[in-house]
Amino acid sequence: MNSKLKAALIGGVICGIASGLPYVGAVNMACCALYIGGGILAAYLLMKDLPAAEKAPYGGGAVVGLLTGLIGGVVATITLLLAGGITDQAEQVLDSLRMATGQGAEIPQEVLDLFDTSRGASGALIMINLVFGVVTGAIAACIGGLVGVAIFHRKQAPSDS
Amino acid sequence: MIRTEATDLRTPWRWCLFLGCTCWLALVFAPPFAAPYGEVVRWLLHTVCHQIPSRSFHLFGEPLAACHRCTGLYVGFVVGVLVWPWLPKLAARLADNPRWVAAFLVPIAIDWAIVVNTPASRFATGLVAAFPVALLPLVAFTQRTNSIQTRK
Repeated sequence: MNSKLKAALIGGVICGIASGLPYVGAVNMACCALYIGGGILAAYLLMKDLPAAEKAPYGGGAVVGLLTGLIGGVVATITLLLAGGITDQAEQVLDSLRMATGQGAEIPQEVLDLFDTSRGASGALIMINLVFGVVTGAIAACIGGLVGVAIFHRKQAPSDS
Repeated sequence: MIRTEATDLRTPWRWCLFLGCTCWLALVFAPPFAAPYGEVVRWLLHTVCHQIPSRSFHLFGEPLAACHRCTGLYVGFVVGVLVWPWLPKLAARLADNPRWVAAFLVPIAIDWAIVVNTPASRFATGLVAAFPVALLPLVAFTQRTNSIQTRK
């Protein structure tokens, strides 16, 4: 397996499962810390086998971080679905929308139905969660990958060149 | 010795990055303008920030979709993307010693660890932490552009 894909798979699965779990997933509320951590982990796994180089491979770090976030976002949504985490936040939004409707705001029934999880999370809600999870995960893990390269890059000694 | 890899960060890709992170920042500032869907916008960002109203900036009496610290991080990143290409010597120095980026994360860690912090300290430490991080994708774009040009 490609070393980038292998690193991204390990980082993505770990940060994805952690993000989808109740309580542990709340760590992400600290600026996507789990995804950033996943990106840093993937960058470390990529960098540990690379020889010392003059330039830090930021491009490689960004790609491995991006892949980590994409994998992590999908894994997190699946874990969230299994753990029932999607419905909790949707109920809060629905309460707020109903309150706005009570105050005279016109909110289409389709929007209210989207967040109505009384019969389980709708397909559209799961889809929005998946897309946004993947996008935010990819951005955060990409930054994590870049920071990871910055931290773990071994500079080539002058005598090596 | 300062290497030259980070001296020309003015690649066209930086505008894509700027556009992307400005859109993200717009989402943070959107709830006060998106009534009655402000809560829906906040829901979109609920996985990346705790969004506690007492720890968020307010606009027209409505809390933003991210806390003081996250708002500082996003603003710092956008400012970094805009400013780094105009600081080539400093950028080259930091790109040459990339571990220094981690040093800029120390203030935010200290501010997070101490019990008594203020909205200003949370915002400022977020800004300081994200500003140097914005250099890394710019250097990645420069490396990519240089390698494409070399192959040609």
